[in-house]
Amino acid sequence: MKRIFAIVAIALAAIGQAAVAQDAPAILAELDRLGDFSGVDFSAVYTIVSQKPGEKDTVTQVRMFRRDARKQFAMLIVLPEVNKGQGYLREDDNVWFYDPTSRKFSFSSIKENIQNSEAKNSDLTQRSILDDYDVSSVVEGVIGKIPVWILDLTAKTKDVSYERVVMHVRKDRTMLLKQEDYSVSGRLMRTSLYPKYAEISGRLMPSQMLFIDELNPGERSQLTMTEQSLSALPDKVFTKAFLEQVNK
Amino acid sequence: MNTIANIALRNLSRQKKRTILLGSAIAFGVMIVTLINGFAGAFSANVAENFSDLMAGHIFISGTEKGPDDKDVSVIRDDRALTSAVAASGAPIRYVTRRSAFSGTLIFEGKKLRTNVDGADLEKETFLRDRLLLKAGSWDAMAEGNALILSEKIARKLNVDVGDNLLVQLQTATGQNNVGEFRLAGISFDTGIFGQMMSYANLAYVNELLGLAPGEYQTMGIMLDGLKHTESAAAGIYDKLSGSVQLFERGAKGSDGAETPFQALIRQQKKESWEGVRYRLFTINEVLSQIKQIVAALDTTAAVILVVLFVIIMVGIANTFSMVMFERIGEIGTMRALGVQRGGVRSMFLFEALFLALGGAVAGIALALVAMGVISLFDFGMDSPAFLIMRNGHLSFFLPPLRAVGNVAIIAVLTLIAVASPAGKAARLTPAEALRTQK
Amino acid sequence: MTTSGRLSPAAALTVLVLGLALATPAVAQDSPSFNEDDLFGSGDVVEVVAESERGSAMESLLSSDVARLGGSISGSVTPSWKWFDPWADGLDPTSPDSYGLEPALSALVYFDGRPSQSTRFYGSVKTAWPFDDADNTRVFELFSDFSWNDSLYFRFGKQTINWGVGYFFSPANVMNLQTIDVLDPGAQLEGPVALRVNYPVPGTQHNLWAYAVFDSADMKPEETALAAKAEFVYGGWELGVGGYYKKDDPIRGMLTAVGSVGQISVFGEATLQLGTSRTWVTEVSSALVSTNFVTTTDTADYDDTVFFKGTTGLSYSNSESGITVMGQYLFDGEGYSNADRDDRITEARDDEAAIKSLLGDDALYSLFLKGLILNSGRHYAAASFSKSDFLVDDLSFTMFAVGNLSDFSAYLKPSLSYAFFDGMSISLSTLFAVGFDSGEYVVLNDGRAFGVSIALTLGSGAF
Repeated sequence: MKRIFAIVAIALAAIGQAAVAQDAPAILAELDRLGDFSGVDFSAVYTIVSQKPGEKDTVTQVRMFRRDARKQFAMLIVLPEVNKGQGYLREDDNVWFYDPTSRKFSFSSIKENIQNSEAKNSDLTQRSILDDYDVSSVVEGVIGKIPVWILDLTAKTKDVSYERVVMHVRKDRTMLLKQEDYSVSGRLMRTSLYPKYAEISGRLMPSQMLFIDELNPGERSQLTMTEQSLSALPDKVFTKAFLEQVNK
Repeated sequence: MNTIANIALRNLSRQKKRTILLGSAIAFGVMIVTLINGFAGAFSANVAENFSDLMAGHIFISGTEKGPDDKDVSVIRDDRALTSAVAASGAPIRYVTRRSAFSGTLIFEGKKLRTNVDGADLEKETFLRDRLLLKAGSWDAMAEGNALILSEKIARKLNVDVGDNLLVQLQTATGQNNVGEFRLAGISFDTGIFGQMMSYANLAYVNELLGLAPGEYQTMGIMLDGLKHTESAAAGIYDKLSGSVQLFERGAKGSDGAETPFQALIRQQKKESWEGVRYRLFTINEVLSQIKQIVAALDTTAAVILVVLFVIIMVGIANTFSMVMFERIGEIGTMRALGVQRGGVRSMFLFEALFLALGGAVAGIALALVAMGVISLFDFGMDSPAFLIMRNGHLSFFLPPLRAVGNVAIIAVLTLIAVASPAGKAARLTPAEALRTQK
Repeated sequence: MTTSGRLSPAAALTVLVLGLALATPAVAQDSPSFNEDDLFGSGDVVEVVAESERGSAMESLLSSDVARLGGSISGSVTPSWKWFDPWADGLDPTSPDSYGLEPALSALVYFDGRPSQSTRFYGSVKTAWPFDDADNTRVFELFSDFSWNDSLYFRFGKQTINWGVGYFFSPANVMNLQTIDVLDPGAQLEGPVALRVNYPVPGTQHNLWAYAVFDSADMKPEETALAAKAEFVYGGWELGVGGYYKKDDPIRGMLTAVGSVGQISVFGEATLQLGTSRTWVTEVSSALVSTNFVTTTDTADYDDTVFFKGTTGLSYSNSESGITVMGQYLFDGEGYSNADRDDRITEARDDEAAIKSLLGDDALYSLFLKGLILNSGRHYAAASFSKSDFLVDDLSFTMFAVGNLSDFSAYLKPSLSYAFFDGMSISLSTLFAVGFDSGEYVVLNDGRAFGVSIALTLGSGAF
């Protein structure tokens, strides 16, 4: 469960990282620039397929509307079918849940749940790679058939989630294709792959993301995004009235 | 009145089988409840002694530093000031321990479990070996840097054996993700409800995982000559410390020495900022305020059991007395015809019930005392899963006398309530009607 | 209790904060490939997404060319056995005092039409077997949504109006035609025909709501019930204040609050009303044949009396351990005082034989007594505890209890549920009605009862 939240949380952080690269700091600056969604609205359909050894794959699909500038999101569940029509509205630490089968709103302001989940620090808040990491090495490499820069990054401060991050950034057009996150002790904890990108309003963002939990073999998930949009959302999206209107 | 009471007693002895049955039901209920009460009474004292051994101290000092992003980082970097303050206080100290600890997820072959791991300097903390008996593995294996001792329960949940390597996922003192690898050196005997607290590793490795330097640690534990010195020694050390280091005020406490969760919440939310390391001093008694809550929970459980048992028993009593009333309609009619007032008939029933309840309750308490005596003769040994709550391997009991009296009173009242309705019905019978319906 | 497959609000809330983590077996989704050579086999990884219109994603949700039809079907077969007073009479498992088999089949069908972004038409019909019973099929909801300038949202028609925040009990729930069933607190309540206006205060999460409720198809304008509520969000708390007015009905005011303390959600609700629409039985006697054996109070005598009802409760949910706890206390100022309750019950019991012979049917007397005693107390409490994946996967344990704290009677229902596969689950419940002879839950269950029921849910689901 928490894993899926982590995936959703990092989805936006990983979005939109493209530019033409010359040197490492410039690449990182470009990734930062494209990762900064603070001034725009974003909406998309997220489909998450999770795999765990010995269990059936699970599929969750939601329609997400985000306005990070005001720490708002509205989210509607599409799959699984039994939860279809349920909606969530969040503003700051306040969360409303709408259940169409009872036509009831429930309100909660419990924040510890998010804080205790795996999604930590940088996953949840917009952070700058350039501010957080030093480049320890840049080498050329190939991933699949695509030439990449392999940037080995080391944390500048002691409060970023991962002490070391290795980014594989496409050479001809700045796109993060693969990222490896390492623990303080140097162990690979998570590998993320970004095999598909979408270009929207001239901006690149991953549309397919694969997350491999390296500590728990066989636990992996895929997040795909469709119907992405950066166009401004009306204010009414972030109201209870909207949740009530759009339910099944 | 005396006559009525006598008749009630005679009635009870007349129906020996029924009386014994109901009486023993009551006695059994009282015995259970008394045992729980007695256990709870001795619980906190035993736990306090055992706990100070396990936590390695009666008095604790922890350090907190403001890290990046205003986060609290738990660390003691340089303890010279602490050591000298402790020495200067003149407290009767047996030894001092230095520990670090974290809460992390242990991972072994697809199984995951969140637990606390204490890092201790096992070279110096030799007493731990005496306290924590191993079911499998050996203390010698702890010489290995990344050795780990788990409780039986945790080891079973993870399905690990001595010699297996486990991953641990945790966050450093500053909140970074980290992964370590432990080798299981030993499995300790399960210590009941505190089982999850019983994972030990070497201080040096725990420090490494937490991102602390080798000489640093998080909590200093001071073991005194006995529990009774705790508060005076704590005051002395606090006094000496206040001259040399930054200190948190000692816990905002209620009159009973306990801090309510709500107070703790308020305190946590109070945003403070400071430079360098600030120290907090607390005692085993403050830690054990949670134990007091367990005692309160046990007492509450006892009360609930008392009520549930007695609701069931009362149902039986109420039914029995309804039956009794019908059986004795003729007798009641005769008594009424002979001039016994309604109140008298009612009293007869109530007396019967009261005698039954008192007899049962007293017998129950007596049984409980006997049971306590017998149980405390057993030596469960120090390797028992429940050694934390025992005194030198023996279960011990302390029954607060007022509580025993209270239990008897509750039972008496409940029984009277149960019988109130049949007694009322009996009293409402008119002599003529009663004699007419005589079987 | 709640049917499987539907999240309780509390559980769902946890899910939300953890993120939408709801799982269902994969449908029409291929397992993703994690092979880098496959994934990055060609340089062609960018797909251009057409620039979308402002709010187009939202629009696709709000309007649709075709009306959606959907609904749910639930079916179950529930054999049950009941023993009365097994504590006194002894429990003979082979001879229950009553037993039965209850097959149930019900369905809800709805349509949802959205011709434009600002209009929506919705209706639902509920039906249950046996179908030839006219009461079993009825229109459950029928309303249209329309809005003005994206700021005033209207809903007119037959609709559920959830006013309170209570889970098991909600004294502020005065407009719905049904009250909450403590055994199924998550169920949707049937509402009246009403006009609702919602104004979300721009730039905030405050909301203003106004209602006009129409009771019957043939009424005078002045008989319309009017109500309004304001909701404020302040520092992690949602506070509500509202009022209700209807001619000849008690005027009501209410306050609600929802928030959290640590990991626990807490909620509270208080209502004050001037006057009452309840009548209290002041005497029970076989002599009162013409008035159904009772004399009652006149509501007009209480027009100047203020009644208070209040409830408070908490919920806790831990998704990691699969534990959900709900608890709630209710004070009902319209309940009987203990002395009055006891007197009425005693009167009814004392006159039992006479009333029975006048009614000519013992079962009718039992109904009469149940009617007298139902909700007669002032203090109630309900709680539930549930643990999923209890001992083994897909097995869940639920303990539900509701008690009348005025007469110390209670109804307890521990149950175990196991889902074999989607479409079939079994639930084993036991029930205990405990208390004194005249305790509410003892009377309602025809005595201190012990019961066992096995519910087999078959092919239930939504479409």
